[in-house]
Amino acid sequence: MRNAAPELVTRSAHWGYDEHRYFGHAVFEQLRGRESLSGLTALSVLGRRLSPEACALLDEAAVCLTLADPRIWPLKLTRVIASYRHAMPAAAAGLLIQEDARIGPWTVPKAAAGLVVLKAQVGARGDEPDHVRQVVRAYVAEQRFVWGFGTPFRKRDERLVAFRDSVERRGLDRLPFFRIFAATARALAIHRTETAPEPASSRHAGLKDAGISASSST
Amino acid sequence: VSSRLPPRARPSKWPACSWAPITVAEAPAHAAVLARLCAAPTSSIAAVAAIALSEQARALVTEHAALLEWRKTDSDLLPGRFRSDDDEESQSVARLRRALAKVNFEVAALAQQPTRAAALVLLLGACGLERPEQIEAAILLSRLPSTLAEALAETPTNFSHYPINLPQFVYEETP
Repeated sequence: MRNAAPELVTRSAHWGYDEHRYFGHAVFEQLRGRESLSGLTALSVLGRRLSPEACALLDEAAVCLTLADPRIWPLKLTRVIASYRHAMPAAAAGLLIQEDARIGPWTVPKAAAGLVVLKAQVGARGDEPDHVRQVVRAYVAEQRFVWGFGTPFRKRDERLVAFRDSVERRGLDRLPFFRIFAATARALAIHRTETAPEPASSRHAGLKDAGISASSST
Repeated sequence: VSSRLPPRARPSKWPACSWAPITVAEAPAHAAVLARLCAAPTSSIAAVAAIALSEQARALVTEHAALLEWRKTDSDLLPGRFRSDDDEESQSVARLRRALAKVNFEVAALAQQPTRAAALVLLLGACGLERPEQIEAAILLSRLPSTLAEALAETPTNFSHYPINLPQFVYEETP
């Protein structure tokens, strides 16, 4: 008896003759000229297209995080490997160390998970500042380490200052996740004076309010 | 690496042992230490070490391509660019020759003051690893344990003890 050949399902892409499909969209007819690089990146990660407003926020978050000083540890790593004159192995090594690392983009989903927990605990009482403060303080008090809050060597993270302005300019600071982020930052400032929020938490708060999920925000 | 057992007359452990030492001043060990500092998982540290060592081995073998070609000729005279008059390198090669003498193995070109790296490439060749890919693989495998040891000796997130301004980078803007 012969086993039936297994069928593998893909939703990502299909190579056609005159037209290709990408996550349910005709590449030339529907995406060409209509989708930006950040939009295409979001489509690749999320499997759905983002609004132009959300893409614009993504672009601004990316710009705020543009910090490639070769002295910074992960970048130094790529630099020393690239000294052998090949860029791709260095880039691959730089990406490799991001997974589960304590710094870099992998902190974003962990920070996001914390905000999701907090939002659930705040529940429908998000408009009650005292309740929000109480929930956040209880959460902060029981955490040994609050992901997304811990900028090393400086009291405030300049990238966060810039990105907060981007969020406020769009009115997104009034949305639930960013408000919880801001409340957490205030609670941490009271509990742990040495810990300043870093962009991982604010970026996720802003992106979550823009409709991007926790696991996708890395 | 060579797909065959080394002949009895050839030393099998010396080439590996000779390539093994690595310092944090070299890119592979430094990169692996940085991965550890960032608290990357061990699998990532090992992968970073392997990538960096592969690149180092490729660069070393490329630099010694002419030496590998020379080995195929009838010439006994080691090309000048692979010789060194540095005392430290000479002493290192002399130690290698003494160690090989103890197992009754001789690589004639080692008497012509090769650089340390050239001496080790010649030794691998004398042990039967003659193709570039064989030599690259041997160097990678020899140095992986010491590179990992260097990385795992570091403490994750020990950022405050890392000399961030070494080397001194000078920032320049394109006019």
